[in-house]
Amino acid sequence: MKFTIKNNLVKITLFVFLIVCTSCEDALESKVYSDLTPENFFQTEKDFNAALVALYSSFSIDWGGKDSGTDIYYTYLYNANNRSYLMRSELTTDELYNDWDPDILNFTWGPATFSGTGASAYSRIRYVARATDIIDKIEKSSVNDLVRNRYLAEAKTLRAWLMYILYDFFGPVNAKVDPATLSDTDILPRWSDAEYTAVIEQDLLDAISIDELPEAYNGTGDWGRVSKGLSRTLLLKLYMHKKEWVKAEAIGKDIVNSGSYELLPNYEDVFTNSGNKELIYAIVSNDAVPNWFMQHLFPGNYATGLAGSTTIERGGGWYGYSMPWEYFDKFENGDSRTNTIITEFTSGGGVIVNRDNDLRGAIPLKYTGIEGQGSGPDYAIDWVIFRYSDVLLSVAEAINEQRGPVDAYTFVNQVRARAGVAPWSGLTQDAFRDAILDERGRELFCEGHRRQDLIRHGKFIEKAVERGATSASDKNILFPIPTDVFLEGQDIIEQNPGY
Amino acid sequence: MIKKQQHKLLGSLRFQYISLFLIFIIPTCFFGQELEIKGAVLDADSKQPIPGVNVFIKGTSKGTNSDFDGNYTINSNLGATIVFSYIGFKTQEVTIDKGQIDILLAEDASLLDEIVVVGYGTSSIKETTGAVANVKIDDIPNAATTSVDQMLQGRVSGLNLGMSSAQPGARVSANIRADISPRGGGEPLYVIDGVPMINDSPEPGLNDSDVGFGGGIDRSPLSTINPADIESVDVIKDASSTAIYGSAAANGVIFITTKKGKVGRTTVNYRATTSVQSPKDYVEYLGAQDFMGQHNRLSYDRFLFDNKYAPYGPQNAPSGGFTPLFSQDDFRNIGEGTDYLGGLIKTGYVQEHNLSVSGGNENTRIYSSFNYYNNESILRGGSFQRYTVRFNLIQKLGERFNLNIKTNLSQINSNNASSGEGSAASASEKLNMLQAAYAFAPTISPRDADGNFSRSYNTLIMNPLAFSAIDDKLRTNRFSITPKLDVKFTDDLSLTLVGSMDRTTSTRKFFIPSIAEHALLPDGMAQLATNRNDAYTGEAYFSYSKTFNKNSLSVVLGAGAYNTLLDGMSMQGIGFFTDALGFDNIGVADQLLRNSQNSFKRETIRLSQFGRINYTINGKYIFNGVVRRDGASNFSANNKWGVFPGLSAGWRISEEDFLKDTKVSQLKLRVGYGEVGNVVLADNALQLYVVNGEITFGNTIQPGVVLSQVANPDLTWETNASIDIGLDFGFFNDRISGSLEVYQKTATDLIDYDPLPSNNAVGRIVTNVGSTRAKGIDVALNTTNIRTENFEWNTNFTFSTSRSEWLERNPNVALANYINPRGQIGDVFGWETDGIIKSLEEVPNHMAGAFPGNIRYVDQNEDGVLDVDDVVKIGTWGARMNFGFGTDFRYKNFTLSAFAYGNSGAPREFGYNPDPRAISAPTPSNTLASVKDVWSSDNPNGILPGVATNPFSGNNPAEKARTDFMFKKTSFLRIKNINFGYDFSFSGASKLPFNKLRLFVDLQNVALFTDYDGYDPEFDATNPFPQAFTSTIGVDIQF
Repeated sequence: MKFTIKNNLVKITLFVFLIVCTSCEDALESKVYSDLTPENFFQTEKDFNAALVALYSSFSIDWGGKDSGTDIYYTYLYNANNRSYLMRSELTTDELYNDWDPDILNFTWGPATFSGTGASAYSRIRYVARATDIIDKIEKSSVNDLVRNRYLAEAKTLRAWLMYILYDFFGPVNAKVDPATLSDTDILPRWSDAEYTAVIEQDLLDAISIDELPEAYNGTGDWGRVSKGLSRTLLLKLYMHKKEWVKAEAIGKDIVNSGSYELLPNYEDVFTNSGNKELIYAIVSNDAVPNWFMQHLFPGNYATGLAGSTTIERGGGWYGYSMPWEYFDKFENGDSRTNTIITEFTSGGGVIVNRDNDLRGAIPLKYTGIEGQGSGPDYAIDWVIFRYSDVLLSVAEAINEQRGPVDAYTFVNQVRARAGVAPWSGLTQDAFRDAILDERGRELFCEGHRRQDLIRHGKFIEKAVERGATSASDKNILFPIPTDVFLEGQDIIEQNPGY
Repeated sequence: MIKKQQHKLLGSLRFQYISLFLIFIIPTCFFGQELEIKGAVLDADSKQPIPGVNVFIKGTSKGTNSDFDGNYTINSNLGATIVFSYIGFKTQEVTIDKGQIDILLAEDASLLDEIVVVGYGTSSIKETTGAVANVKIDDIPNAATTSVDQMLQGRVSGLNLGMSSAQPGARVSANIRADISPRGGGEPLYVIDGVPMINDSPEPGLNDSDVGFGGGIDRSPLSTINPADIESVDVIKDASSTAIYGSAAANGVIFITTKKGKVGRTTVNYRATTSVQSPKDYVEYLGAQDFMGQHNRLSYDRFLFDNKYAPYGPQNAPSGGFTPLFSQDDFRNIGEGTDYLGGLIKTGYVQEHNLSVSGGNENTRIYSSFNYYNNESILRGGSFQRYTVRFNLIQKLGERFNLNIKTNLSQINSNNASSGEGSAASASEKLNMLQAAYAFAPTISPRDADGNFSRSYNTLIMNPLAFSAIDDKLRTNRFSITPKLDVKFTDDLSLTLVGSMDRTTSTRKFFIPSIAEHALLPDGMAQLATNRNDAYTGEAYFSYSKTFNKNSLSVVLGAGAYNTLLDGMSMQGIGFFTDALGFDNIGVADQLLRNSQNSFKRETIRLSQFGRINYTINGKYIFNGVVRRDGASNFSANNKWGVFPGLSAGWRISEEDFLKDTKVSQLKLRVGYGEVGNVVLADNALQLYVVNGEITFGNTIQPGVVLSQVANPDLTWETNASIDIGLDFGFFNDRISGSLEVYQKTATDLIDYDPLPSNNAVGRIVTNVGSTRAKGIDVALNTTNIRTENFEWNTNFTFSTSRSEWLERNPNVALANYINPRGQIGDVFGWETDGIIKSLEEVPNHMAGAFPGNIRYVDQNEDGVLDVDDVVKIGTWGARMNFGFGTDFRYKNFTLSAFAYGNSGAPREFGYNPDPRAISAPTPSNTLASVKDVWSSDNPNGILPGVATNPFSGNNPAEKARTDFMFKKTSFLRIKNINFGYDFSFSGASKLPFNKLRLFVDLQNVALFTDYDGYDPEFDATNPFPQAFTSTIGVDIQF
């Protein structure tokens, strides 16, 4: 064999440096296979839907998820976790007791308590920016007007809802609503109250004015999407919060007059039948994202008990939440709403457990339609967020605040009649005010309204102190800005007073 | 001169054709008194004949070769010198004084011992200028060891290994010197036979949304390689040497070199071992009597606390207000109860068979092995079975070409027993097997009246024994082939072409049947997942070496292309009408919305050019330079390429005249500087939209997409520069030898996240910011204390210590005021604690509202408020010192070796505090036996917190709300191994069919000395797969 060094050396050298130099830069292009990039996203109608779904996901009743923009796991807003927006709205009040979280129980929270991964509610401020981005992109997009306008209305309503939730817990914050500022890294101060709520109000008014947004989705395959009913209800919530009674009465009556909603004859059915006519918005649950609230209620040794006349057989649960007996005692005799509450059960060992025998509080099951007898998550029951009776009671309250109860009875008595209790009449304005707070407590227990109601009526702190939370003071009406946000803002982002 | 050149492939492993060796036939003129000299050449060790030995008369061209029986004949004069030379053996010279000269050739140990792998070549350790440690794997007893990384702890100074469990094949996290990249990626680069390895385990985890024990295994990719196939491990610690691996080498390089066939007689080695694994005591939990007693005691306190009776409030409890759950009758009737943990942890067994064949001639050398390893583990239901086949071939193809092919095939079949921390360990239905055994009430028998698995008082806890019904099978197949062709252009210049394919495919099949009665999965669940890791490597490099007078030059110049591809898929099905199908027909799962499918793919391409130049003057002064240029697809658009240089120099002082003929046999001073890169987080420099979050509309679940990353096109490599000064020494003919190294390494342009404002869509952007530094000392010392013909005693010792600190932090991250900006990396902060508050009167002012039984936090600044100003440093991650100590004795044919290692001061998050609230609940769960030390009204001297919730614990502003109570030091010393063996000796004339026979007894995990009162100070997970004391008997036979 003749080996010519020269020839082969040249060839091999060439080969080596070919490895190095051929299309180097092409080979080194970034490889992205399982994610999307600006080149292939935000192109089609379905892309916009996927972006909207991400906004909706904050309202999932699943436990939570890692925000891929921070890599921090946050609890979603509406689920059974004791630190979710929903549960904090209940556990800080007299309607629900839980001793796992002494900070919430004793009102001893501080800026560090709900910081980092605990900043579940505050973290939604990033979704306001995401909503702003989506609104901007939809406005600039060329998808057909029907879809475009409907998506625009949905995105604006979701942004307003997120902003309202932040407002409810923290007061006005520095949420980003101007697309031009989205990638700025300057720390912005918090909005003034008026500026901030004006944005929420305008978003909702815009959404309501968009013809392509349907009045309601009840009973359709799009149940769970934003409808005009939800946009109006959020506006009602905002006006009630701000005690703008005139506007509250008007928007509430718009909902009533829309004809989309009605009271069901039977209270239990409201929480059993998906998409029923009393619901304005519910978070859709299924086997994949069960409604874990009930698992929190059942004691570990639960076997069988009665909710009204319905037998509820279950394996044990976590026994996290219970309704204090003092609260249960607010119900009048014969109030059919107590048919959704279990007050006595038989344990697996055959022992009767009730108020006199170790049962810490009532079991405010609410959702009596649960199927199956295991301990499993077969709680595929939609989580009710807003419903018509809340609107009726709000209108009644707004009327009473403006001009006394005379015009208000017709609204409140519809609700009382359905519960099978006597109608009201002849109350003074003050008496009506106190009575309607209690009525809301009985009608809407464990639906996440109690905290706002008590704050609006100026009784949030007073009630906490009564329960033994001696640390409670006016500062606790708002939650603190989380430590990490406050640190970031140094002197720019003001902490809520008292923290 | 006739040159005969043929290449014989592997027709016969016996290599009869040794006569085809290069033969020099010398025409000789015969003068005077020539004598015929005859003799046999034998292996000094095995006393077997060596064919093909070069035999020649010094100073002449007269020579021959030994024949197949080792015999030779040569003519020469008396007084001439006869030289015997053979590759791999020490050359011997004998003066001719008679006609019959038999010779024993000894293996050239120096040749084997002193070569280290340095990347794209080898170097004599004497001429190495970098910080390199070489470990001969055959010297380490490896009974019942699944992967080589488990054998290295304490063996190399500066190489620190961490374990999270004793599961067979479990990953060992490695860290060379200090890890100064706070964003992690601290693992070194593993290079197997010259080819970089993917360090990600391909083993699929489980979707753990329903079961918390989904993870549980994280196996080392090295577990697919038979440790007995490994010749040596070289650990390269300093950047002046690792720079030749550039962007991959920030954390050091570990070279693994597999065995190759040795020229000479074919040997067949067979080793068989049998091991018994006895579990080490797990952390103690309560038996039935104690469980009832502790429940009654603590539930009474809970009753007092809930009603705020004394000592938790001013009023005394009314008599008769409390009825304990367990009556006196219960105590009498319960007997022993059930020991659930005892039902799960048992004796384990390991069987291992290793067969290897090695041999070759000048043209062909092979090493081939088969290994079978079977471990029935100490955790019920766990097993690990491995087959590996290796075939390493070195084939000369003509004069200029040399082909080297290394092939490894392995399969692991394992059944996994759930252990380790689940992702949501707190939820009772997500407890793993060991946690369930802790929590399940021992008063309840395992089966109920119907024969089903029983339930505890808390009905969500799965019966610990029901875990045996889970089928969790894993099969991993790895195939790697590395062909390498050396082309020799001239004696000085050669080209090496390397290609490699390394593919690991791992499939996991999991089924939890309905009979297991999992609370959330009453109708069962199955998961199937397959992941694949592919690595393709192509490299070409020129090597040039030339000696001029006493100086020598060597140069390496080359290029490489690397492609790694990771992909996989998984599916889950929930709800099976039958248990009979298991995971083999997942399509029948009926809870359609809970079923899921996933897939992913990731690919990285890296292109490189690299070079090394080495110049040695007079054998004394050595200069070495390396450089690498790397480009990577996962790097940012504007910085695709980086350059990493390394420079080092050595001075072999012992070669200087003034040290000649002294007791100093070796002394070398070396200094090096190098820069290497770190590409951790590089993938995050792109703008990406990811699928994240979902919602249900009507009956459809829809996926959401969010912006998850914003681009940083200017991201660049994190640079890790190090200075290393080392002294290698040997005294008394190297009877005392070792090295002392000091180093400083500095990371700049740290890749980290810059926080974006809290109101932006994306919370962070990956960027280069900040700087860290580590300083440390590594010491290795080997001594031969006694060496006589019959008795030899050697010891070796390693020690390392380091300290790393921040030079510059990210100015955009607001530091809490308790953090020293220049503090150590890994400083941990929290509130200090000071015992238990024992009465309301003892409640300190700064904890107003606290209760007896609460832990007392220290108000550092005595301002009467517990807050961020009371947070102090409570420790620093990582050990202050690591050490290893080995000793071995040989007396005649007996050998005894022992090895111990340990560390000082490494802290752990302490996961072994009892849960007084769980055991005092109305539906009590069992807990650790140390619950007896929990403070309660009738245990006023209790040292652990009681049932009262602490109103201050949630307000702890420290990260993870840490306190020093939850953070414990783990200094320990472990006697890892004792090995005792006897070598039978056989003379060359023995009629027995083998030439070596060794019997040995090996003990692993012999003893542990520590003050740590958790389970095992080495395991960084709570409730890990249990540790075993392993005793092995084995036989090693060589034919």
